[in-house]
Amino acid sequence: MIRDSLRFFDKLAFTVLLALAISGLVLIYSASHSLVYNTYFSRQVLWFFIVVIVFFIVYRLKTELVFDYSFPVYVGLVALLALQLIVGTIIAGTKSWIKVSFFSVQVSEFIKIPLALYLAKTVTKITLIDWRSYSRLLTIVGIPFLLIALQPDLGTAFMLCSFLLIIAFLKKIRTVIIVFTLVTIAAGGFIGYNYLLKPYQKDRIISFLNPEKYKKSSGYQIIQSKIAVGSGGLVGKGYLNGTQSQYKFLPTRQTDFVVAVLGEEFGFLGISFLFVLFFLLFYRQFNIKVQSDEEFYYVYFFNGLILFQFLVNILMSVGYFPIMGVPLPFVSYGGSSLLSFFIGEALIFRIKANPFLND
Amino acid sequence: MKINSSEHKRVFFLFIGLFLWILFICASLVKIQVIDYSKNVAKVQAQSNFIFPINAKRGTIYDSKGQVLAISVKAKSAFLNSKEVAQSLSLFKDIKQKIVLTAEERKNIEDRIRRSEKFIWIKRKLPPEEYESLKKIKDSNKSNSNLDFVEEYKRVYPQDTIACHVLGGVGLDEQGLYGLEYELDDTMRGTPGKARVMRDARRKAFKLSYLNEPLPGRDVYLTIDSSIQFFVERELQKTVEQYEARGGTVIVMDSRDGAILTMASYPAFSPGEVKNIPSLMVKNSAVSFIYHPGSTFKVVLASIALEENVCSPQNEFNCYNGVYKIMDRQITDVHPFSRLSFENIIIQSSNIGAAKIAERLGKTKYYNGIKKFGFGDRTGVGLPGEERGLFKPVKQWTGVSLQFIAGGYEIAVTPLQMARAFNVIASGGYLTEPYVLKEVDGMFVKPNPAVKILGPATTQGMTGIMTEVVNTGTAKKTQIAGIDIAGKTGTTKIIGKDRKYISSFGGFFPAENSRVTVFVVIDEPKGDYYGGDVAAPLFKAITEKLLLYFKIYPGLDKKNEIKI
Repeated sequence: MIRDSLRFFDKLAFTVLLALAISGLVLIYSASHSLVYNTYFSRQVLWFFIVVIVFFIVYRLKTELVFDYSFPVYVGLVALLALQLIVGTIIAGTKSWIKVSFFSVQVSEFIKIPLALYLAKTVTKITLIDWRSYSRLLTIVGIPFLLIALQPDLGTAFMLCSFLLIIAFLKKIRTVIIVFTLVTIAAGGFIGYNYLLKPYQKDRIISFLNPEKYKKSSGYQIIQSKIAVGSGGLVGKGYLNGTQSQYKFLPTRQTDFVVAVLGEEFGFLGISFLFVLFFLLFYRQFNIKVQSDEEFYYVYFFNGLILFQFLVNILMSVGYFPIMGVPLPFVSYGGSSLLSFFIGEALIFRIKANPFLND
Repeated sequence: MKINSSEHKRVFFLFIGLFLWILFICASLVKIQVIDYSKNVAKVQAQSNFIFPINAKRGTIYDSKGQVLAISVKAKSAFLNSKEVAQSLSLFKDIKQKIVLTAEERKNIEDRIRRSEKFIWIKRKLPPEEYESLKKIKDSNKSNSNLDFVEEYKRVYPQDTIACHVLGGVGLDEQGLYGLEYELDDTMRGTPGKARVMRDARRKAFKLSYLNEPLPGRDVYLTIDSSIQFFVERELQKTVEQYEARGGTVIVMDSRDGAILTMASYPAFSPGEVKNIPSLMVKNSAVSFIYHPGSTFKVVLASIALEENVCSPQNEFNCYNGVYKIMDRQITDVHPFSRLSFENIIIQSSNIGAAKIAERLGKTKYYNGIKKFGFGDRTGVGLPGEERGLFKPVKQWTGVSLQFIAGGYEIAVTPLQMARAFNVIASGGYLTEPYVLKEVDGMFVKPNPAVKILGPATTQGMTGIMTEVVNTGTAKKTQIAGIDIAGKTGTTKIIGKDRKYISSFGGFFPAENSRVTVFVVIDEPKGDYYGGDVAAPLFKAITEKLLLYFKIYPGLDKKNEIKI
C-alpha cells in the first residue's frame, strides 16, 4: 500500500507545488528584507517545512475516512469561527487569527477543506437543484461565509462562493432558481453596498475604477501595485532591485501583492513563469481519474478555488479588480494559507494515487 | 466518470470563460508592462527619485597677507514640510518662540501654512544656537507636519565692516550682489553638483548618489591689506564724524605698481547684512563718487605744462591781484598775488595762476595731456559701478573751459582717477592700472603694464613742487618731521549748493622714491572745509601709521643704521 502510494505519487505536480512555495519564499525575502524587524521570511521558511511534513501525513490518510470526517470537522471549524468572533484577538483590524503560541492560525483559511469535501458529498446526492437542495447548499456555504465576512474578511469569504459557482456549472438547476439567485445577488449587492459595507470597504470597490481620484487613500495601493508591475517591463529590474518593493511603496507586498514584487523585479517573464507553474498544476490536477463522484466534485471544487483565487489575485495586482485581501495560493506570505492549500492538494494527490485507477 | 453531456457542455463554457479571463490578464500585463512601460517607470521614479542641486562652496576672499575677508561656512536652513494646517500652525507656534523672525516674516509663514503649501522656508542659514533649539523641537515632534533642515553655505565676513565697499556682499543664494562678490561671481561661485536621493514611501532618504560632484569656487587674494584698511577706516570715520561730513573716501595705493592697499569709504556697513541695506549705501565711493577735483587737479596741469615744456618752474605769471576776468566770468584767489612763479602757483594754489598756465598750454595740448592721465576713462580696477567721470572733448569747450578746468572745474573725476593721477608722479611718470585682485587660486593676476607718460625731469620737478606744498604751502598740516611728503590740497565748491565744499588731499611719500600714494576725499564737511584743514590732517594721521607699518622711520638717517 505504501509502495503503491509512492509509486503513483505525482512527482511533477508536487515539484510544481514546491516551486510555487519556494518562489514565494524568494519573493517574501525581497519584500521584507529591508524591514528593521523582519520575521516574515524566517517564519515562512519554518512554515514551509511544517507544511511539507503535514502534506505527507495527510497524503497517507484514507480518502473514504476523510470524506466521512468532513462533516464533524466542518462543524468544528464553524464553531471555532463563531468563537473567534466573540473572543478572537484583534489583529490588523480583523478578528481572523487565533493565537497558538508562536504562530497565529487563521481558521477561515482551513474551513475551505472540510467545506469542499462536505459539499462534494452533498452534491453527489443531488441530481437536480431544486428549492430544497438549493437552500441546503446555501446554508452549508452561507454559515462560514457569514462568519468570515463578519470578521470582516470579505476576500476570504467571497472565495468560498467559488464553490457555488462551480456547482452552478456542474449541476442541473431549475430555471426559476437561477433567476431568483441573480435577482437576489443584484438586490443584495445594492443593499449590501449602500447599507452594510464599511466606508473603507466601499472605497476599495470604487477606487479600483478610478484609482487616481483616490490616490491618497484607497487608490494608493492600486496605483503603487500597477506602476510596480508596469515599471518591471519585460525582464524586470532584477532581484532586490525593485524600488517599489524595496522602498515600502507597496503595502502588503509580502501577502496579497506579492505578484507586484514579482512583476517589478522579474518583469513580464517572471509573471509568465508563474502562469506556467499554475498551468502545469491545473493540467495535472484537473485531468485525473476518480473513483467516485465525491472525489470528482472535490477535485473540481478545490482546484477551482485555487484557480479562482489565483486569477483574482493577479487581476487585483494589475489594478483591474477591487482590492479584497486575497492571497496568492502557495506563494503569498501566511502559514495558514500555505498549510490549508497544501492539505487540500494532498487529498487530491491521494485520490490520484489510487492504484486501482492507475493500472 | 459520472458526468453527463450537458454538464460537459457547461464545463466547456466554464473553460472558455476562464480562458478569456486569462487572456484579459495577459492583455493587461502587456499593456502596463510593455505599452505603458516608460510611463510607469517615470511614475515610479517621480515618487522615489529626487534630483536636487548641491551648492558648491563659494571661493574664499583673502587679503594680501592671507587674512580671510569673506568665507562660506556650512549652515542649516529650516523648512516646514506641511501636511495639515492645524498641526503645522501649532508646530510653528513652538518654532517662533525659539528663533528671531520679524512680524512680517511670521505672518508670511503662517499665511503660507494656511494656504496649505507643501514646502515652506522657516528661516534660512540659522545661527548655530537657533538650529540647536529647532532640532530639539524636531526630535520631540510627533505630528504629521515635519520640521526639517537642509545644509547650505552661508557667507561670513569675519572682519565685519573691513573693506565692505570693496567686498560688497551676496544674496540669500550666495549670488554676488555688489562689489567684488559681484564682479568675481563667476570665479568664486563654482559649479553646483547634482545629487539623486532615493526615498522610500515614508520620505526617508535611502540612498544618496552624486550625479555630479559640486566644483568649489576659486579662492581669491586681494591686494587689500586689512591691517591698513582697518586703521584707515578708523581714521576716516573719526574725520567724517568730527566734521559731520556726508561721507569720505580714502585710497591707499602702492606707488610702485598701483596695487590698492586700502580702499575705504564711510559710512560703512556689514557685508553680511547687505540684503537689508539700501544699495546707495553699498556704493563704493572710491570708484563711483564723481566730483570736481578742484585744486588737486593743478598737479595734472602743472605736470602737462612741464612735460610739454611750455614753461619752466621759475617762469612768472600775472596773478591779477586775486581777480581775473575772462569773458563774463571771473576767477578769484583766496590770497591775492600780483605775480607768482610757476612753482608758487602750485604751492599757494592760485586759481588765476593756474588759468594763466593753461592759457599758455593751449586747449589741444592740455586736452591731450589730461587724456593721457586717463581722465574720462575707467581705471579698469575691476570693481563694479566704476564711473568714467565727465570730461568734455575740446570742441565742446566754451571760452572759459580751459581756465576752469585748470582750477579743477568743468571736469568731474572719481577719487580713484585722482589717486592714479597722483601716482603718475609718485611712480616716476607711469600711468598704472590700479588693481585689487592679486591672485586667483594661487595664480597671479597680472595688471596691464604701466604706460610712461611723464619724463624724469617733469616728475622730479613736480615732486619738488609738491614737497614744497607740504613744507611751505597749503598743506603744512601734513608735515611730519624727518620725512619728505609730496602732496596737494583741494577744496571744491559744490556747484548749485550754497557754502558746501568737498575737501581733498592727495600725496605720496617718501617724496623721493615713493612707496605709498594716498588720496583723501571728504564730502561736505561742516565748519572747516579747506583741503589743508580737513583732508590734510586725515592724510597725516594715516601717514603716521603707514610709516610705522612700512617701517619707514622719519629722521633716521642711513648713517645711523646699525650694521651687523
